[in-house]
Amino acid sequence: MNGDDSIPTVSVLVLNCNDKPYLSACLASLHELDYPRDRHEIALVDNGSTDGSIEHVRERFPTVRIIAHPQNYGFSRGNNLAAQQCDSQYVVFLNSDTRVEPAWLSELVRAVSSDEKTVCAGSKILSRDGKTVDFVGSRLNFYGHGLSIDYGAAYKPGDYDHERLLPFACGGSMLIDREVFLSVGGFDEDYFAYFEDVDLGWRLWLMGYQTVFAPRAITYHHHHGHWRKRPDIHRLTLLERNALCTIIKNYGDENLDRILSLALMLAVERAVVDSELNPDEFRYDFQGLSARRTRANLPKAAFCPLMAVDQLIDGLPRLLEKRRQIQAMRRQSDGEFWARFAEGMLLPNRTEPPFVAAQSALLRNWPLPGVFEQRACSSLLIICHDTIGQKMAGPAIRYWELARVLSQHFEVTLAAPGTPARESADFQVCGYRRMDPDSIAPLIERSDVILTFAYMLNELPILENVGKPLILDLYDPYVLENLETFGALPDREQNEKHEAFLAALNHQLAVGDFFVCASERQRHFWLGMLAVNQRINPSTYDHDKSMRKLIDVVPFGLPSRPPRHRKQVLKGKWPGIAETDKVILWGGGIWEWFDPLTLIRAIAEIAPRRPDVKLFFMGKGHFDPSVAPETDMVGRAIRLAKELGVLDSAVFFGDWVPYDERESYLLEADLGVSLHFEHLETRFSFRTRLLDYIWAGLPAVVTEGDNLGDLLVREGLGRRVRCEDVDAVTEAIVEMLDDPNLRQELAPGFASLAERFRWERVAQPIVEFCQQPWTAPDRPWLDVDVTQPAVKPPPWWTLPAKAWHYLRRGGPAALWRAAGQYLRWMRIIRRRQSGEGL
Amino acid sequence: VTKVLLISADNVDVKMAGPGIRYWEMANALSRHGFDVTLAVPNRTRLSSPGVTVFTHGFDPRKTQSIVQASDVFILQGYVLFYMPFLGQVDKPMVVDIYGPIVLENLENNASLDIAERHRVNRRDLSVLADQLSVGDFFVCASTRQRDFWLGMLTALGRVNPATYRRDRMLDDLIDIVPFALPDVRPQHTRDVLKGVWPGIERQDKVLLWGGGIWEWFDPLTLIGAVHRVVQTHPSVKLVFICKGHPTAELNDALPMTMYEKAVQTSKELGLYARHVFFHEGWVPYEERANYWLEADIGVSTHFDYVENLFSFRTRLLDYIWAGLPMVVSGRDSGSEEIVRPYGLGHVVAPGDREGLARAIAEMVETPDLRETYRPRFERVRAQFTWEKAVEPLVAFCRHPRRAADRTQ
Repeated sequence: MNGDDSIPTVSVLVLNCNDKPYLSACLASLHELDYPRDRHEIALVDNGSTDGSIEHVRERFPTVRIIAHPQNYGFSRGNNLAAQQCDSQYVVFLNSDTRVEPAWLSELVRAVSSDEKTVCAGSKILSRDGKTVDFVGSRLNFYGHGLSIDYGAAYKPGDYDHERLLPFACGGSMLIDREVFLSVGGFDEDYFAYFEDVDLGWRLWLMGYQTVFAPRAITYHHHHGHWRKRPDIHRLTLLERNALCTIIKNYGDENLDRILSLALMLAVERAVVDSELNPDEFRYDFQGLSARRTRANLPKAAFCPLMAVDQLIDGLPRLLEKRRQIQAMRRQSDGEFWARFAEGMLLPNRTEPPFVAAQSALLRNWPLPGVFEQRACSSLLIICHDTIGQKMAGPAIRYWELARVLSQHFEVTLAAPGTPARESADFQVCGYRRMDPDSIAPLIERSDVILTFAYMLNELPILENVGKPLILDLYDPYVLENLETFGALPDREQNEKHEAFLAALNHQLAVGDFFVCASERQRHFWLGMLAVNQRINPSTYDHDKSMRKLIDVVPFGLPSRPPRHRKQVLKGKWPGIAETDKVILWGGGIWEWFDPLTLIRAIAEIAPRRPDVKLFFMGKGHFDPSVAPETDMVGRAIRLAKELGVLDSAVFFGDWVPYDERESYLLEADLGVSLHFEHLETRFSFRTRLLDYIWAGLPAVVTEGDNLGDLLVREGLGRRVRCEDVDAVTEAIVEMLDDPNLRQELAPGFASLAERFRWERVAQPIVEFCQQPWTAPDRPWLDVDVTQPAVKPPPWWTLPAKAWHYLRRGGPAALWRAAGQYLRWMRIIRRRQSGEGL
Repeated sequence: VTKVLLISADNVDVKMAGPGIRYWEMANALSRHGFDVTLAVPNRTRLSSPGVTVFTHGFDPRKTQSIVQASDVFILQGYVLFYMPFLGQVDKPMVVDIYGPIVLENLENNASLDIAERHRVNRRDLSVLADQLSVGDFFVCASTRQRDFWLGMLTALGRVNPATYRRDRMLDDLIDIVPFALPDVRPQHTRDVLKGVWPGIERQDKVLLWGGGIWEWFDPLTLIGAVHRVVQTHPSVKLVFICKGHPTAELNDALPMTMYEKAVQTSKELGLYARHVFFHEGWVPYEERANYWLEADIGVSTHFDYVENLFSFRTRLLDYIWAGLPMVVSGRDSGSEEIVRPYGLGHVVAPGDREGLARAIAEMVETPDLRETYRPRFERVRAQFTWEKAVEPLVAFCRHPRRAADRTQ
C-alpha cells in the first residue's frame, strides 16, 4: 500500500467458512467504502470452505486478497493467522454474513485516532434491515459473561450515537491496532468460539489500552445461523467454559480465589436450574427418605456447565501458563478496570428467578472481594475552573488552599485554565485549555484521585470514565444562583438554560464517587438532590449509614497564620480617605444577589453628619470578565452613589484587590458588611467575605438568613439586620463605629472561630478520602433493572394465562411440569431470601 | 368562605398515631381561622368537632372525587396520592404535606432483606415521592431542615425553576413549614406508677425515662454505658425503658439480635439489669402515660448517626416537651438541633459520646429543682408551638389558593 502516509493503512479481514451466499453482499458493500483505496486492502480469510467460496470471490471480486487456511481453524486462530500475514497498521475483523455502510471504515479509524491508548474500536451492529439492535455497547459481569446492551431492541437512526468506552467490542465487526493485537496475544485460540472478544477486550484494558464504541461505523448483520444448525449443547458449553477461562486468566491473585468460587457455584446453580429436577427430592429430612423416586429424563443442556468445568480441568496447564503471562504484563488493577465498568458487574447472565435469587444470596453472604478498593492515593489532581494567579476569586482560593493542605499528605497537582501566573513550593501548578480534554488528559492519567468542581464534568466528560475515584465539589448551589443570574433573560431562553443546567447537574450527582459541599445546610439540600438521582440507596447506606461517605462538609477555610498588615492601602492612601476616617469594608465582588444599594443609602444618610465615615467596595465584578461578566448590580450601585452625591466622597469603588494584599485592607477597615436581597440562594450560600472578616477580626453587619452570617451573630461577633432595612443598617453602623474598643473586645471570639475554619481542619474529609479512596459502591446497581422484582416468581393472577400457554404448547404434560416448577421456584426463592438454607 | 378539604391517609379516632393527630389538629386550627373545613379520613370515626365536617373516604376514588369537587382547595398527606393518583390531575389548588422522607426511613427498616429487593423497594419509594413532588401546588413539611432536603428534591425534579422562582424568590410560596405542635391539654398525674411503686425504684431516685420503642437506629448501648459510669458516683440514678414488649430471652443463635435484646444483654453484663436499668414490658395504657412522664426526672433518647436521623423529629421528644421533662439526647437530628438545643431544653450530646452523656446526666442529676429550673423554657416552647401558629402558612395559602406557577396551563 502507498499513498498519503498520514492516513493509516488497514486490512479488512472477512472471515468465511462455507458462507458463499452472503459473501457477495458483504464484499460489494466493502467496495463502496469511502476510505482511500490505496490505504486499505480487503481480504477473504477462508477457513477451509468447501462450497467454492474462494473461486466465487476470485471471479467476482478479483481485487480481494485471499488468505486461505487449509481447514476450519475457528474464529480465533483463523483471524490470528490472518493478522500475522498482514503488514498494515490496523486490522478489521468482519463476519462474512454482514454488509457495511460506506463510512464504516473511516469512522472506525477516526475513533481510534484520538489518543495512543485507544487501540480498538467496535462498530455499531444492526439487524439486516436496520430496525433492531445487534450490538451498540457491551457489559461484562463479574464471572466473565459478556452481555450486549439492548440486544433486539427497536432502533432508529440517531439512537446510541454517544461515543464511549467499552469493556470489549463485538468480534463480528471491530478494528484493532495490528501490532498491539499480536503483542497481547491476539484472540485466545483455545476458545474456538464465543467470548474470545470479551477476553481480548478485558486483556487490552489490563495492559493499559482501551476500546471505544464507534457509533457511526455501521454494520448490518444477517444472522446466517451457523450455530443454529448445531446442537445447543456445544454453544452452551463453550459459553460456560470460555467465561471461566476469561476470569481465570484476567483476575489478579488477590481476587481470583473468591471470584472463581462464586463463578463455580453459580455454574452449578445453572446446571441445577436447567436440569428441571426437584431439589427437594434430594433433601434428606427427619421424616425419612424422600417419598417419591422419579425416573430422571435429564435435559443434556443441564450438563453444559459441568462439562465446561470438566474441559477446564483438561486444559489447566496451558490456561495457567496464559494466566501467568497476562498477569506479568498487567498495567492496570482489577479495581481500576471494574471502576470503569461497574455497571455490568452484577448483572446475572440468566433470568430464571431461582438463579437470580441464588446470585444475590451468594453476594449477600460473600460480597465481592476488594475489586472496589482503590490503592491509597499517592498523587491527587485538583482541577480548578477558575483563574489561578496573583488575583484570585473564591473558587481559585479554595482550590489553592486545598492543594496546599493536601500536599502535606499527597503529591498534588493543581490544574487551572490558561497559564497560571502563580507557583507553589508545595505542589505543582499546571495549565490546561478549557473545552480541550486533550490538554489535561496526561495529568488525569498520572493521578490516582481527582478532585474537581462538579460542573467541570460538563467540560471534561472523560472524567466519568477514567476509572479513578472522583471527588466532586458542590461548594455552591449554583443551580439556585443561576435562577438569579439568568433572571433578566427572556422566559424561553431562561427556561432552556435552566433545564440544560439542571440536567447537567443531575448527571454529575449520578456519577461522582464522593461529594463535598460547604455547609451542613447545603448538605441537607444536596442530600435531597442526591436522593432524586438514586444515590441514597441501600448500597451507599451500607457503606456508611450517616452518608458522610457519600457527601461530607468541607467549608471554605482560613490560612493558619494571622493576617499581616504589609503596607498602608486605605487610610491616608486612597484618594478621599483620610488617616483618621472610619472605613466600612465591602469585602468582595458585587454579584446580582447582593444588596449594595441599601448600604449606599445608609451611608448617604450618615455622611452629612459624619464626614469621617467611608464605604469602600473591595471588588466589583470578577476581575477576569471571561469567567464572570460584570453584573448589572455594579452599574446600579455606582449610579446610585452618584445620584446621592456620595460617589468618591463617602463611597469608593476599588478595583479587584490582589489576593496577597487583601489582608491589609481587612486590617485597616473598622467594620465589615455583607448585605443581600432575600432569596433562596442566600439560604445555602457560603459567603467567603465573612470568613475573611473572621480572619481579620473585623466586626460585621450582616443581613439575616445566611449560614455564616447567622453564626457570627450567634457568637456575638456581628449585628443582624433585616433585608433592605436602611434605618437598621444606619443604626448598626453608627453604633458599632462609635464603640472604640469593639475590635479588642471581640478578638478572642474571632480567634476561636478562626481556629474552627483553618484549612488544615476543614480539608479533613478529603484527606481521609484520599488515604483510603473508594469508588461509589452503588455503581454496579445503577444499570440493574430492579424495577421488576426479578427474584419473584410470576404473580398468581398471571397463572391462568400461562397455564393455557403451556397446555397449548405441550399438552397436559407440559402444564404439569410447569406447575411443578412454579411451586419449586416459590419454595427456593423463599428459602434464599430468608437466608435459612440447608 | 373558602372550602378547605383535608385528606388524611391515617385513621383519625379516639386513639390515633402522629399523622392522624396532625390532621385532626390542623383541621380544627383551620376552622378556628374561619374556613369551612372538611376532614376526610379513611375510617369511621367517633370524633367530632363543631367546626369540622368529618367524612369517611375509605380510599374510594368516587367518594373522594365528589368531595374534592365540592372544595376550593385541598390538603393531603403525600401518600394519599399513592392510593388515589387521580387526585394529581384535579384542577384545584392542592397542598401536599410531605413530612417524612420515607426514602431514608426505609433504608434501615428493610436492612434485613435481600440487597436486590432493597434496591427495588428504594426505587419504588423514590418514585412514589417523586410523583408527589411533581404534582403539588404548594408543599408543607415539618421543619426548616426538612425543607432544605425537600428543596433539593424539588430542584432535582425541576420544580424549582424560573417560573416558581419568579413568583417568590424565597420559594416560601412553593414550600413552607407546618411543624408539629403541642396538644392544648396539659398532662395530669393521677397516681404513682414508678417511684416507690416499681421494685428497685425508690421515691428519692432520679429516673431517666426512655419513652418509646428501641428500634434498630436507636443506640441504648452507649446510654447504658454512660449510666454504668454515672451510678458509681450517683447511685440513685435509674434508667427506665418504657417500650413496647419484645420477645425476650429467646436468643436464637441463628437470628441477629435486635437492639432491644442487645440492650437487655448489655445491662445484664454490666450488672445493671433490674438494679439501675429497667425494662417495662408490655404497653403502657394510653391514659397512664402521663403518670410516667411526670414522675420521671430526665427524658433520654440516644441514636446512631444515621442519615435518617437528620430529618426526623421524634414523637418522644414532643412527649417530653409536653410533659416539661428536661432532656439528655443525642444530637444531629432535626428535633434536638432545632428545638432542644436552641430553646435550651436540656443537653444535646454527639451520637456515640458515652463520656459526654455521663457528664450531662451527672450535671442534670445534681441540679436542684431540675424541673423548676427548666420550666420557663418549656413555657416558651409551649407558646411557640401551638397548632394555631403552626398552620399559619396553610391559612395564608387557603386565603389565596392558586395553582403553582409552573402548573398553570
